Amino acid sequence: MIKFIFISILVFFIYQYDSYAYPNIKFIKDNSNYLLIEENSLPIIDIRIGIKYGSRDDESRKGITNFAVNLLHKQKVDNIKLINHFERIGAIYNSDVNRDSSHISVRLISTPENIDYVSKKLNILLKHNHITQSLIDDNRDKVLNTINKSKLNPTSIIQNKANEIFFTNTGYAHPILGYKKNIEDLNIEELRNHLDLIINQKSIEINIVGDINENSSVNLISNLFKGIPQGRYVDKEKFILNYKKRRRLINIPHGSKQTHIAIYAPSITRLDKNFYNILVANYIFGGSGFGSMLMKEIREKKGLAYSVYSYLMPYNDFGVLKISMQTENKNTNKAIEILKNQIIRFRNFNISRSSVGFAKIGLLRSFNLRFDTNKKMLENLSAINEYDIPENYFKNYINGINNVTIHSIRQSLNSSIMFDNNLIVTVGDH
Amino acid sequence: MSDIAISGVNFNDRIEQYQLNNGLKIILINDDRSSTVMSSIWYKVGSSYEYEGVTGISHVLEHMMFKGTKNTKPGEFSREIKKIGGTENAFTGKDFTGYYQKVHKDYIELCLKFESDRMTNLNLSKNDLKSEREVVKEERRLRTEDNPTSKVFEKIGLQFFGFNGYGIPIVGTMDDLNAITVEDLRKWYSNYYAPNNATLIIAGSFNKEETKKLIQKYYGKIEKRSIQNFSKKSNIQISYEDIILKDYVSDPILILSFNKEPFTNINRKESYALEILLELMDGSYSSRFSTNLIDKQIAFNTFISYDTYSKENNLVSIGGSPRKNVSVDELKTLIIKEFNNFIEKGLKDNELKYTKSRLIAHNIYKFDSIFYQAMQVGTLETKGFNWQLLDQYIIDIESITEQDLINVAKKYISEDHMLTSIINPL
Repeated sequence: MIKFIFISILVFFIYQYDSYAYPNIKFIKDNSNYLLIEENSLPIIDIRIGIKYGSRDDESRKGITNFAVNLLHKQKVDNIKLINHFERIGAIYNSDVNRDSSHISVRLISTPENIDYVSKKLNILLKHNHITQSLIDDNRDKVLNTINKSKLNPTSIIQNKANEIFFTNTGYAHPILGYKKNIEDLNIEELRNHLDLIINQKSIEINIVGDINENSSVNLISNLFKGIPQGRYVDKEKFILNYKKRRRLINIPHGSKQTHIAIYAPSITRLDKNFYNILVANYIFGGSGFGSMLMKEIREKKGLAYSVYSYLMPYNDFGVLKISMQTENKNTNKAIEILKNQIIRFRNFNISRSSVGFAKIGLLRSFNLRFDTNKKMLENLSAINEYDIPENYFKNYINGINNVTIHSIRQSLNSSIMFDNNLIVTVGDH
Repeated sequence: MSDIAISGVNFNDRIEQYQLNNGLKIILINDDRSSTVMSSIWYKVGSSYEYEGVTGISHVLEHMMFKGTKNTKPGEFSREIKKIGGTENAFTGKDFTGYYQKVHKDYIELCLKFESDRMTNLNLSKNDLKSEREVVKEERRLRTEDNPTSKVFEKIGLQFFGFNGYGIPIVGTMDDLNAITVEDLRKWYSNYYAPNNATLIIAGSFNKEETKKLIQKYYGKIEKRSIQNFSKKSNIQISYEDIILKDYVSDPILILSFNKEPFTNINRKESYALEILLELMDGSYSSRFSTNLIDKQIAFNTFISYDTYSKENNLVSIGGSPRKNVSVDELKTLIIKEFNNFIEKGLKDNELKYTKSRLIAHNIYKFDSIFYQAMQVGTLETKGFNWQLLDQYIIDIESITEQDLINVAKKYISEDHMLTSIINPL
């Protein structure tokens, strides 16, 4: 009977998937690097410029991408920082650098004057002709200060240490901020050259959501790219994850009340054929908050932590499954033992068929919630632009989840997550 | 820009408000931009309702609300929300405790059914409390004890207000968390979790008439109760004695705190003038602190903490970290000097215009999310204010003048009534 109900639910969802409300994504100028979702109910436009370079591309100058992108909005035009120009019209400017890419975002009120104004200011910003030595010196001071702070913060300490060990000899091992020595050595010429390398028309993707039509978007992009070199696509060398150690444990002493625990295991990328199997499996393991295996054992049954999560980090070159939690120092060993037991349970995947069914239904039904604000639409658009082509993305996602079975998860788990090569790092006073 | 803001986006065009016979206040915020709906219930109880020896109880009760009822198993509500692809959470503040679920519009009934059930039928057991108490203590360690800034803010609140009102830490003290019993929780729950002490806010896409019927069906049958005020005032003499601590910080952190009177409809323009003044000082990259303290290499960073809509006396806190060759005392002097310069010389060109533009634009951006719409309305309603203030906000902001700003700077940023706190590196 239970099996029948489950199959019925599944059939219902396979039948229903075409009825999901996909946002209508347009190619601006017929170019798949420029995506638009028109959403006219609020007078807001969100623009996100994706640059296909992140900290993995820093090479020997660790931290240079973050440092360089951070300089852009601080350039002065008419003796005023570019970011101030945005703020004057109530626009919000943000930039961030991650391991595989960098982003510049602007949110503005959708008047024609604002669109024109913002696109022209972004053009000046991207041309980076106003980088000065004093700007670099000031930024260096702030970055070094942030690096110092990160040495005292258990969350940063654990992340930096785990990355250094786990991703050794790849561009993913160093902190996005870089190291003190590298930052002290950066000079104006290197920074200008780096910006020349990463900012060109081939390395930039543009995503727009909001109260703007395709014609205005075309104008916005034309303004934005005026004088920006065409550039050429650089086929980057892929890094290979070489972490082969078996169940290594590193303890870092720190005078905090809680011990932070991180576990890393090699996994798959976003484009791997097993991605959806691992996505559903991780949802059950620790990716879905309350009710997940980890949350049940660690928080609900034992009261050992406020939060415990597992998440799949699919970088461009490889993926990693991460588990993270914090617990009172004296409970560290107990918590690690429970995590290890749960990993074994997860690996064997002795999970009921109905749990898999409910995880799939949960993921499918949450699809609409991923597009309920302009901000979320923009984030998704940006991910789509980085990973896939739009027509296929929604159907691939829904088909991918629908095709997952308990057998497909079991078949793919051990080839997609290297459970024995895990690394455990703790930071605390235990 | 304000024309767009006033004509295009406001709450009045999307809100319907009414009350059930049992006193439950209903606010329906219609927003059909997506097929998502958020159901949230707000109880008028939070840390400011607590007292010395009984702190953190509102927050512990919030955690226990997920442990099941006479009709549901522990975690069942959460599982049901997960099955339909929804998200849910809860939050405790100084003046409110709230619970919400965000789901596809087809599932609004499920939210109303389960949420109304736990308004009256909650199971509170010793076993559940035993493990959940440990979870809350872990939350306290994470958010307060291992966080130097949160730790000092807790001390500042207690020194200013004692175990009264906004001085009481939301998470509670470790001693009080250890002392809470199931009986204490029952008393708190049966007093404050009543329909006449709650506001139900539905925001997003939903069929209004159907939803009203469902609200009546699930909440209409719950009886109203008389609400007692349990809070006990403890005596406190405000002390302006410096707080100096050592902790895991790379550079000293300076915090200057001032007392702000509660927000009222009568003094609201003064509260907004203070909001603009503080925005002008530290709200952006073009603010005075940014230009005069950060860019001139006096400070690494600066911050201001201020809640416009305070139901009780609250703190305005201003601070930052000095650069390597600058002392904490120098930074303190220069921060105060920024306000004194403003009082003496007033505004610079277009400074007020740009600051207002930012505040008004940011007010429009909040409409992007049904969550923030419900949060704004719920926060005001449970503090005893009215959501209409949100629509009046832009008009009020537009009416603030230079003299209004000078007046609030003189009134609130006074060295005679200032508490200095410093966290030094270990």
